[in-house]
Amino acid sequence: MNKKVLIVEDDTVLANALDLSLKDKGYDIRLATDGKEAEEMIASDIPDLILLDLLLPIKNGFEVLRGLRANEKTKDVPVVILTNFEQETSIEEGMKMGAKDYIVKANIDIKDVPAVVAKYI
Amino acid sequence: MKCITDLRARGAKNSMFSAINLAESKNQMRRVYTPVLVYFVVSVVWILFSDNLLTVLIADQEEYVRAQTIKGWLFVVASSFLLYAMIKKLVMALLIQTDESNRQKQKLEVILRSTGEGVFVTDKNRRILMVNKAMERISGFAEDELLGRVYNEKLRFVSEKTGKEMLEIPRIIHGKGVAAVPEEPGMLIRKDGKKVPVDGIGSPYKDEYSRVIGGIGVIRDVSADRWRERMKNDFVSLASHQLKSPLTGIKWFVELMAEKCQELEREQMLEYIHKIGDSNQHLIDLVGDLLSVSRVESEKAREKRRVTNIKLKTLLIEAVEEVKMLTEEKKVTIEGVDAMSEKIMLKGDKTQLLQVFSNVVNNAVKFSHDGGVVGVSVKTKGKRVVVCVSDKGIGIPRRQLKKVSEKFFRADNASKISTGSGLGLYIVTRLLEIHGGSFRIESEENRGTKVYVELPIMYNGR
Repeated sequence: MNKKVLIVEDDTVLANALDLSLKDKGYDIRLATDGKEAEEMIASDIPDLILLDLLLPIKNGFEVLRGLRANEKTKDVPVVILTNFEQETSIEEGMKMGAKDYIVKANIDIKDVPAVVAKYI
Repeated sequence: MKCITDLRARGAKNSMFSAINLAESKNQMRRVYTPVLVYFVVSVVWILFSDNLLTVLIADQEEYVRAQTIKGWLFVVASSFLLYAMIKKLVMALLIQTDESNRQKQKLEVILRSTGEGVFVTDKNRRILMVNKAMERISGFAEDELLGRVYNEKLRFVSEKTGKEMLEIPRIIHGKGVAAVPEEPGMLIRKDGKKVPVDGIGSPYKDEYSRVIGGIGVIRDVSADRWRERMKNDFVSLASHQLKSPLTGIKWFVELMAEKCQELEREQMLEYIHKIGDSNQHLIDLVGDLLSVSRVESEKAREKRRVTNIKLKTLLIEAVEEVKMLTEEKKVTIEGVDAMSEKIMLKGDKTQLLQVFSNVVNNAVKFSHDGGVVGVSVKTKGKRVVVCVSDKGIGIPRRQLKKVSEKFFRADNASKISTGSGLGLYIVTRLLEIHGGSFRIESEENRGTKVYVELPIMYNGR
């Protein structure tokens, strides 16, 4: 069975690019465009990995991550933060909260994203 | 206890001006020497030559004795006049000088006390001799609580970075005999325990012989500067994040096209190109909005306005025209502009006011449902006009209403509808401020939004 990857991204162009890139490698892709929608999707079907943006409508990425870690069922789901928010304090906080990686979107080639997913899944 | 503090305080104040007093005494001594010297010279000349003169002039012994007596009295009277004139001159000079010196002292004290920067002066033993009003305000301590105290018992400075006490401060104020500033930004711990970020300089306090007799600390409360700096950094950080999103979109789709160009169908290729185009347009809009923000935030936005008389109706027709493409695309109808009064005239910069109205109308159309109606109405309120632009679109969540005029504000339900910088209403607010106008918004999620733009009327045809 294909591994499930949840992309939490409010920019539809970027979400679309990630979807195209990962679907090609056989991943089962789900997409949430805000923090609340992401939580609902995780609650109904736990993904194998989450690509999480930080600046999101309704609930930001940190809030989603905090909720995940507080829940026994989801506390071990690997999360990779994929954002263009590049402040040192955010990187520190994200890693402290248990993210597997913190990647700046503008700094990664789209072809390298599947390899990042494969590393933590 | 209070008495001791008062005495210390008085002593401290007196010492503060002791250097000035010493300089004055030197001047006064010079004024005393001069008449004594003149008196001495005149007396010697009189004694040496007056007898010889009498001997030459008077031959009779009896006449000579009487002349000697008259000469003696003459000397007493002349020297008394001389002494009187000199002492009078001296006293007058002293009175003028004392008066001037008091005025100078008062002036200096008033300058020190009313300067916006906190000033404290210490003696060699680091006891505070003087503080000014600004120092009281910044530190939270009253003058009486500080005077006579070793200054770092009360005025404690800590590093802004580490929070540790800045041990170099006493060295800066008392050490090298030259003015110096701390190597890192510091904070002063106020009486209430709060920490105030301060910039400061320490200088030696020298007497008239250039001997260091204490130290002078001058500090400035930089809380407002730090706040502005933080706002600026947050803005730069958010702006760069916003700019990176469309840039990443372009980068990723170009990479995907390059990778898959052999296998892509024409339709897919066109879809990729559209995505690149969308990101590119988003980037152009964003850069435009960022430039607008920079323009409206500068003082020049007010100064460089090209103020003319503008017909409100013309302005609104042009604003509607500017969003024509989007209106047609969404099949939205805009009502109310044609029936509007022709008489209301505004005074302002046409480009800036057009930016206000096209922004508001554009938002109304953008967040309307397809086929919806946007209403534009005008009401006058005395010497002001209120333009209301209403829609029955997605609305704004109640919890977010207060934030609509903040930079980069995007309603939670807006990002699914369209891209945007979140700077539009901030720009509108600032432009209206420049024109003496204001902006108000009423909205309910999923029910629609009413935006009220209020501006002063120049003429309304009556």
